[in-house]
Amino acid sequence: MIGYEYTEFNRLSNPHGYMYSSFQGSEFIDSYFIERLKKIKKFQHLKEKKYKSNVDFFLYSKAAAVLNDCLEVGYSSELDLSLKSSFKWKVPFHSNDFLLDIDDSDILDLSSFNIKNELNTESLLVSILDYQLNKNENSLLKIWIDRLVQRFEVTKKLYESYPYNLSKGEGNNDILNLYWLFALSLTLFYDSTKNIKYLSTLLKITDLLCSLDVDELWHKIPIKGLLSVLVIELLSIKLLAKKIDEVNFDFT
Amino acid sequence: MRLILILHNIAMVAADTTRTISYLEHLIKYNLIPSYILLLLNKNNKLLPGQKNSANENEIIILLEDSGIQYEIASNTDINNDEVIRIIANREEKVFIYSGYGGVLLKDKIIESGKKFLHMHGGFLPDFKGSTANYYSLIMDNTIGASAIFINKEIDCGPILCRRKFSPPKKRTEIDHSSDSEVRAKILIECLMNYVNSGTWGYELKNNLGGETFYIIHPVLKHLAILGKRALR
Repeated sequence: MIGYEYTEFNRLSNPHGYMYSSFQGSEFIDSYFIERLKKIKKFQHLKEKKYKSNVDFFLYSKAAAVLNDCLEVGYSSELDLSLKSSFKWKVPFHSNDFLLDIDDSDILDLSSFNIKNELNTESLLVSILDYQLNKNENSLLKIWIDRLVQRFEVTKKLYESYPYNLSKGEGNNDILNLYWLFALSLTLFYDSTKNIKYLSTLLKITDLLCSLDVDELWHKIPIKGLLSVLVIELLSIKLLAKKIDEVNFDFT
Repeated sequence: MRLILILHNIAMVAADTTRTISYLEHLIKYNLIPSYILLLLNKNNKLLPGQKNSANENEIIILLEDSGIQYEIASNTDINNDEVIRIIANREEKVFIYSGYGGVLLKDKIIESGKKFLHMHGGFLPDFKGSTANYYSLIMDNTIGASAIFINKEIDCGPILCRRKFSPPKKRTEIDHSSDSEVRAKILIECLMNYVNSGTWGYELKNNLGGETFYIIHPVLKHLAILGKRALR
């Protein structure tokens, strides 16, 4: 059986360039499905962490609803029963936290970001997500997502911050939350635009996340959220492959 | 005896890649010979992007020797290297056909050397900019494309001299080293023919704005593009 080399090693410390990848036949698509399903099965058994931050809770409760909806509506024909039980992303919050008054006042408006200033990547991603979940307009969103796609594709990293003109990133590049937030954003953007460019970058980010030890991941990012992202990605590939006779991978 | 048409105002910068071989074969076939070629030869064992095997070097030199094209081997494989820039800047030709190694971007210094670089982009512009654009266009509308542009500081945004969409290749497993190079070579010939016939560089679309910039396609999607026989989206 062909191995899926893109998650074989830790892709945060050993990024893959993806250049001139060789053709390995339909077995390669099978190897992708097998690897992703293995991860999905692992993640299914993990308990979701509690959200202590208001922003996290505010954002993820909306994102969960959108992703669950998107799976039910957009991909229901491809949704296998065994996957169906796995994708429900519920967002629990800590019972001691007082979250009744939560709003988005802690989230900066996307239009307030300026490429001439230094950008904090997490704040930017949170604003992008907030914009995606609350506004039905793609042009400003595309500008910022395209800038981050370009930064990630060139270096295969997301940095803590970017100085003037989004030039060379600064600070840590191993903050898993940034990769998770970007994966979530790309999933939502691919779902709304169906532009393959964003699916391609999403696959690279999820390769990176799936290449890490589960223990390393689950304290740092909402694992059930990642599970939903992986299921949508998997079903998107399955939908594209539907017109190809050679690709007939059976999920059961 | 066959008459050879030397394009006196046109030179070429060429890496030892399968794409360069395709360009040269077409240039020789259509008797459109650059007056000079600067060869960026890879002397290491490790292949550079665009090389299929290390035997290319001999193949290119044999082609150049057999066709009597004037050439020189550069001391470096990087077009942005100072010595390479010096050689290019000192040449009389105003236009250089560019066929370098994959993934190399021309930096300001070479772009500002006073020469124009004629680049064949693998993709129909302005719609499909960036890397591996033809795999994306196969998935999206089951075509591939090629466009001739003069390079400027923005990637794939230079003025378009000519462009064309092509039917999908019969052998999709050979896109990287065969079909993509072939459609680019066809556009190169079309563009040079236009120049020879009119005596000027005419533009099909000067304002090459908009479109989408793509990045190296993920191997899963690349496999779908190869295995698919129609648009998948």
